[in-house]
Amino acid sequence: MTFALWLGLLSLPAAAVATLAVPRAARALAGAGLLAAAGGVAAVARETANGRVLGSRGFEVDLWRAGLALAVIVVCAAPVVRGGADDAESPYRWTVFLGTAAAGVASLLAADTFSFAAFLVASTLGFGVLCFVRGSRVGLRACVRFAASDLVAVTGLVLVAAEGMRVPPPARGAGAAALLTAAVVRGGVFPGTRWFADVLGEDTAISAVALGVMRAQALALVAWVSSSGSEWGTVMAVAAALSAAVAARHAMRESSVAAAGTAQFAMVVAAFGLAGASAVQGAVLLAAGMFLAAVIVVGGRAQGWVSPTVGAAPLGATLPGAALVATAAFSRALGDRPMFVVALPLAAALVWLAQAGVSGMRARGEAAGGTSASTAWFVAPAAVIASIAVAPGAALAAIATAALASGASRLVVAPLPAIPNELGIVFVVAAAGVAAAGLPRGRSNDCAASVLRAPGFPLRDPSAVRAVVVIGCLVVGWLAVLFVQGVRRGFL
Amino acid sequence: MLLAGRLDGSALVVLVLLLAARAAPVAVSTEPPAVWALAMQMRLVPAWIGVLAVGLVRAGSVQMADVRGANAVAGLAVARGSVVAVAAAWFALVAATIVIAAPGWRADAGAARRLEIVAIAGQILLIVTLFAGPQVRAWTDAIPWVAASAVGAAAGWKGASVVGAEWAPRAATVLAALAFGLVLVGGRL
Repeated sequence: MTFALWLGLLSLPAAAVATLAVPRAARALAGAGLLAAAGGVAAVARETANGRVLGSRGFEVDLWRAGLALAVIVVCAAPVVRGGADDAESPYRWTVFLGTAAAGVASLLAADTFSFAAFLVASTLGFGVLCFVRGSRVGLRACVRFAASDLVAVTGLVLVAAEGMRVPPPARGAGAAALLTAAVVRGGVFPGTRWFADVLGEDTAISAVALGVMRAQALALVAWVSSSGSEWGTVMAVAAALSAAVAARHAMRESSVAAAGTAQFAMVVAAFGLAGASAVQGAVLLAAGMFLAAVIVVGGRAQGWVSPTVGAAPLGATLPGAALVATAAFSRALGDRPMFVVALPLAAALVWLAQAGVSGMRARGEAAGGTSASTAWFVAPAAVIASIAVAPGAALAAIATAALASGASRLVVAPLPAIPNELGIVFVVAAAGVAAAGLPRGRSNDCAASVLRAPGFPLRDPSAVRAVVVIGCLVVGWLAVLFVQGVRRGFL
Repeated sequence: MLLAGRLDGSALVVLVLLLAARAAPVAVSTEPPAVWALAMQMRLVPAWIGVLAVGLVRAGSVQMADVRGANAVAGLAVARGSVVAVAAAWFALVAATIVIAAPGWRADAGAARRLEIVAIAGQILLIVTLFAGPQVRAWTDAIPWVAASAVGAAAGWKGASVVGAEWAPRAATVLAALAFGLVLVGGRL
């Protein structure tokens, strides 16, 4: 059953071997491995949606960990599959890169803390080698920070080892503080955020490891601390919320994708600090948006392949996720006033991220030499909500539940509610935005445009087509919301 | 639909949609003033959050329907409640007026202009819903809605000539913070 997953993992070194001689074959293998890994995760999802954990030979996987592993695989496969300027570099460097990615995946699936620590250090070593071969001083400086985070993480794991070495460890006290510190350093939030953003200015391999491997490992650590009911939860939420606001403001002001990613990560940390079903669901969506953005940043750099709809996808997951987290924070603050220290920055981060989406699209339009961006961009950032949040709403709940097996599940104390209305509302607006943004504009290469240009399609005037599709999306989306509300209220 | 209470939903979602709609016409333009306008909108966000938080604390809920319910049950925020709560509502109202009236970029015509008008109207309705919109049971209940909306529309239309770009974000944020502090002290229903 997990054969496909392991096949996917094994394909990474296979792709590396192929890279030695034939880059195209390497890309084909990496693409096949990606598909296999996705199939494996789907199989794991089916088997573990009820909280079951699959284990084999020192590794374990549940839905949460499978999701993180898939994120690493997708982010790291992006530069390989897409190719680009880095093809001219040493194939051995690509081998190191893929080995680092494999170590990152292995760390997420480790069944005990000793193995986790070993793969954690291996990931950092791989990152260091990549930077050394490249001659990247910025990368090496970041590697020193990652190594420091390894040291702190290992210290934390030793401190909590008395409670057992199973994953997730029961992290409390000083051990939890150490793990949390390691997580925020690894995630690029501390000390400062500039150094992590600078790393993303390096080549695709270094960026992919930083955005994929390091961020996923950081999320795993954060989930451990949060699910242990640690006394550091509130501190974590406050610090992360303030960091998120600062990073989101920076993302808005500078149209910085790196800062937006930092804001997303900080909001995920804040959500885990808040705990609760809604916050965890929001965290899952935010994490999905963060890794989608990483794929686009890493893969899109190679050949500029990002179409408008694809470009809007990360914020499509981010905005509803951030709305859920901020709403959960406000709900808690209304009963516990000091928590406004968390709620207000998170609300500001949410708004600034939405505005950053607008300004980012605008900057992209200018860079492409366009005269203007589409007015639909104000809603297009919510694009993939249909596929991520609404359509598989049960899957979203299952992923949040999978924190159970991974440790974060204790946060979900009650049966998960049906799809929150906020998601349905955003879906309605987003569907119209996607349709309006993706429809023909002369040179658009979106798939929607291709369909509508097909010979058999009855409408030829782009404005009429756009109007029809927007209205259709609104109607369908509205029916979806009514259906969800009907189910929730027992009418259906 | 959210503002009218036909859908349950977080007030934060309403705010995000409205502010994104307000930013959209700026995104359409590549003119230099649009960049400045986008920065101005970014600086106004803390004031918006503060104003919204005042309404939410008073209602004791994040849901838009509950905010409307608070006005229906306890009366208008600007007239009913403790002295501290009423003062908080007025401070928030003034802050919101400054925010809406703050100078910005105006689209010339077309879809961008229409979108901007819709966004400003939505922002005005949000403020009215938070502080001055009663439940409509008789025709007299429409008076506060119409009056508050008219004031908001006038502020949005002509306020830019009165409100200075240099001091508007700071003043609005200070007033919103003051209102938030007051409502925390004694403003909850």
